[in-house]
Amino acid sequence: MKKKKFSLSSPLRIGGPAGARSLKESVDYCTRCNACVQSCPSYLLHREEAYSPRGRNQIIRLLAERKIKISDNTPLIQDVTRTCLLCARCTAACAGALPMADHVLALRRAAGWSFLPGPLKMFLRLHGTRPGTFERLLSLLRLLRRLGLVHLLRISGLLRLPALQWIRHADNIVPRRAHSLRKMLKKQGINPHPEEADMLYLPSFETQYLNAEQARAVLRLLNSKSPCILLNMPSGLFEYIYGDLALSLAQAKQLLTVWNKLAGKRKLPVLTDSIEIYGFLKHFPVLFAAYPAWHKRAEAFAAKVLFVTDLAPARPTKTSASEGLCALDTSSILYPANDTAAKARKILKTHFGKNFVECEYSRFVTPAGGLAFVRGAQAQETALENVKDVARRQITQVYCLSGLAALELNAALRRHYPQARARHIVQMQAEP
Amino acid sequence: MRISPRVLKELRRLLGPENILTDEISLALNGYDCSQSRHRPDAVATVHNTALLEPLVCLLAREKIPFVPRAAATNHAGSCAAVQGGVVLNLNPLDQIYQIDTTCGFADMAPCTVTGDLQNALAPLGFFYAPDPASEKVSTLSGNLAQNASGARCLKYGNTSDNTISIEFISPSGETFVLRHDAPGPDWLGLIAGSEGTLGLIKRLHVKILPAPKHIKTFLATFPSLASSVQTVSDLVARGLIPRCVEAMDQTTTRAVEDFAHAGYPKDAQALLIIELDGDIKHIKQDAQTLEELCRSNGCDTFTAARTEAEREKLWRGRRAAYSAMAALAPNVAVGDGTVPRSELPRALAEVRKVIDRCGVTASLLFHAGDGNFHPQIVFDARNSDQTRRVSRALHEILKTCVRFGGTVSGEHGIGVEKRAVMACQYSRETLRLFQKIKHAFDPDNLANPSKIIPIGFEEKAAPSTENDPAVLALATEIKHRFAQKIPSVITGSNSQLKSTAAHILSAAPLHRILEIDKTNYMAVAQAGVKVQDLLSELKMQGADAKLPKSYTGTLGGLVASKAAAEFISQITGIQVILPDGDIVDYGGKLMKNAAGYNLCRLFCGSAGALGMITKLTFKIYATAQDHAAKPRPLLSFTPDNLFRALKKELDPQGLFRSPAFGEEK
Repeated sequence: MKKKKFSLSSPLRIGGPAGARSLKESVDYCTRCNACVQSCPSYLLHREEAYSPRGRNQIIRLLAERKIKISDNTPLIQDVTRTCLLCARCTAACAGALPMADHVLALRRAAGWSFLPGPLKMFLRLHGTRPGTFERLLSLLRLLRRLGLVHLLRISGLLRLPALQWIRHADNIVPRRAHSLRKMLKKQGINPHPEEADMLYLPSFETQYLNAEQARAVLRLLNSKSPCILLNMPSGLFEYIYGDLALSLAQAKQLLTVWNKLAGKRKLPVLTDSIEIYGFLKHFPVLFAAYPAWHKRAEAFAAKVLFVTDLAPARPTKTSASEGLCALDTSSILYPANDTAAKARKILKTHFGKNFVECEYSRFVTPAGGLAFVRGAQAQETALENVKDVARRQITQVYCLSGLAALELNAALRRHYPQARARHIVQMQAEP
Repeated sequence: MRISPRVLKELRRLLGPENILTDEISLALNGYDCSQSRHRPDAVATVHNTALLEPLVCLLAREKIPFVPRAAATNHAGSCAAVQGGVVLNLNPLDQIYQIDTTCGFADMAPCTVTGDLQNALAPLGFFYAPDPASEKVSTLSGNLAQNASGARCLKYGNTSDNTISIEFISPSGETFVLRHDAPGPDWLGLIAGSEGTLGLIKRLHVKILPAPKHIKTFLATFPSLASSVQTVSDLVARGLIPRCVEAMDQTTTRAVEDFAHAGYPKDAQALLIIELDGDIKHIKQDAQTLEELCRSNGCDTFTAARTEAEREKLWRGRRAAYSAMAALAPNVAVGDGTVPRSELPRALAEVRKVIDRCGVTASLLFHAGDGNFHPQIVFDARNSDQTRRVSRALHEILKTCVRFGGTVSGEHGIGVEKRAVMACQYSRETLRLFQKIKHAFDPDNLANPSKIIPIGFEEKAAPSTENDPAVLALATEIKHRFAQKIPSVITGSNSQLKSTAAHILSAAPLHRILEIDKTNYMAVAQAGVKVQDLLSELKMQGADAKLPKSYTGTLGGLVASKAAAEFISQITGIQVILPDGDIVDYGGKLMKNAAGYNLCRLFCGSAGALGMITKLTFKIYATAQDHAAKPRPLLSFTPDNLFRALKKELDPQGLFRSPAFGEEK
């Protein structure tokens, strides 16, 4: 197979509040003020400039200016791009709100690195391209897990092999009980495509396949609202991060077309319970900045995207001290979830009152967006730091904006500090 | 220069192979900071343990390899660019807080503890660390001290140097010293503060921590002119009301910030002040009333107090977003830094605006009104060479304007390589020569952060000293004569401390004039031979006071040279000295902040006449009565250490200035 030539020039625009820019221009806007550095979990572990957001920006700049060659420095560049969690804390700290996760993704794409184990990538890609096959395969994997295959691999020590470590991690975080949103809807007799609907719902991967509790909470929340149409289709986020950019754009275009068709002139809002998808959908105008035909539609669409915290207003309820202390984990991916985090904080403050602890995990993030599969020791270290933080403050409940972050944190808590548990924020909102 | 494989091997053996980086990316990434300077080192050494610093510096000194200490690299002056190559020392892993003692009020830390981390650790204990540079969330304590970056609160709580109790210091030859402000002999710690790593490395710090104020109240006042806003600040200080901080911006900046951050600032105001008071609620209420009266009497348009924490946060939002507002406009932001006497601020800022317009650049203008320190933030595109040239010219002219108004080219950002050239505009040839001698005494091989601070070829560019006081000139002539004839001298004031019986006493008695009591800037200028008692009575007559010990019978120069009143040392902002070779050296002035060059005020405090003869001092005065109860400390004898010996050899190679305090009278 012919090797793809490395090039950082791409028609794709990236950008923050200041507007869409090309990669080179966006990187040029880094003033090297270093405001981002202490917010980067990867830098805090390595303590070297190359592993800081400022350093990564400068590497991309040097590559774009052709002052260094990727072929001469592959191991280091590969490592600094691999260790970026795409957590967007640097963007939140940056004076110019530069989308540094996008910079790193552009470099990964240009170099052809996805850092996701091949079989896992192929399997997850099926979710977007062939949902039927994906579901059948998933059922097979679950059956094998129930039959004890993963356990066997674990005790045989095979899961310690670097290539198979992701299986061990997936086994740690994914709940044992099999779950499917489609079957749940069927069981409860809910029509996923009602004639009259006031909203479209794009479920998260966790709600669809992984976490039954989260799915039940979403359904409870939706039942209390007007009827909505389930959009069982990919957003393009997975391909945007790990795969083919063209495929990602095609999936995003498909989503825009379906929305246009279903929502019609009423321009129905689109709800999601995945903070990662929410950030990505909100970013559609920048994604389509280089495609004028789609840009306007993307803008109209992005204005209608809602996260679950937008739905339920905070309801003051009495909380007893026995419920223990509660905190919010704002881990997200690609773009900082500042507004959503503020809303979630308000909801939790109203419900828990003084039991709510203002506890931003200032130094470490809970891995979100499935990145734990790619980081090995670093993932364990960051997870452990979070557990320490929870234990030190004697928190008993952590609410996360990201479903995957909740699963990750829960797995670490179960192991090191079982007094506390982590849940998705929707589970708090939909409590009876 | 290139580092030989043998030395690299030794470095790897010392620090571990993974901590010595020589790949082109690591070299490129460790050659810049927040300024436009970029210089590649030859290697990067990451240090994980403070115990390795000494052997590392010894190795580099032995091999004559230049080194540049690098912490967070947030400075705007190019202070950590490896101009002559060599090794960049990445000290970032040294960030442990060893101890926080709230009873004695200090924190003990490794050098690269992030200032924000220290504040976070202190907050739950009800304490805080006073200096607050704008970059405190990411900048490190040793970096702050090396640049003497102090932030907005320095008007009330003093600068970073004043808030540091002691440091462990490694000289460029690898020798470790423990330096304190109050130790006998010159105030080495005060000299190291602001030296930008050119005199050595900081290994460990003890800093002062203070109980956090129980209440903080924030006010926003808008004024029809810059002059009236600055006058308000002067009036505040005159009334003895020292705010926690006074932040200010002009109309152009207010508009840009308001459009960006929507903080609720009135866009039509010519000047805007954010004033913060702290303390107990009773005093704050009283002070708030006084503050409002003063603002109104100076014709303020609006005066608003933040009633809730949310309102306070909103008022600060605009000020904090000022950099972001500019950063969104263009790829690059050049942040300038200059300080002028407070009274000159309105005229200087008007002049700076003219320079900005003349050079055709876009800039915001923020200033710490209490200190006379301002920061123009100029946006530009470094890819456009014409724009970059215009910005460089604008910055250069702004700094020259500062000097013209009796100011300094750096209040807190340091000199580095970016402002080296303008140092020749500020300082005389003699002063710059003294800076060079200090550098040479500490670092004869020019290894520690070379090519910083001192301008190249200053002998031609800098002007000679322009002192015209006949008494000073007569003394300088006499000292020159003694230097030529190799006649020793014992410098005295009224000889009350030294009690010298030597034959060649050189007395500062002819220097008996109080030159100025400036009640706009609240500064006084007096010659060294003035009796402290006389000075206090004169100040009293003029309705002012200074932090001087009432029971001291000697002269002002004697008080400073013998370090008899530790509290007064931090009040000195300017000094004039005659060196043993007869050169007259001037440093500082009526400036609240000065980070340009080595702090000569601190060098000659406690030097007991062994390094030079103090002739003139500029110091802070107050409108309210000060506590004079502290007894002056008797002159302590000082056993010269290697630092002192090296400096003495540079300044006075023939050993002509003899001091009984150092056991060298005979």
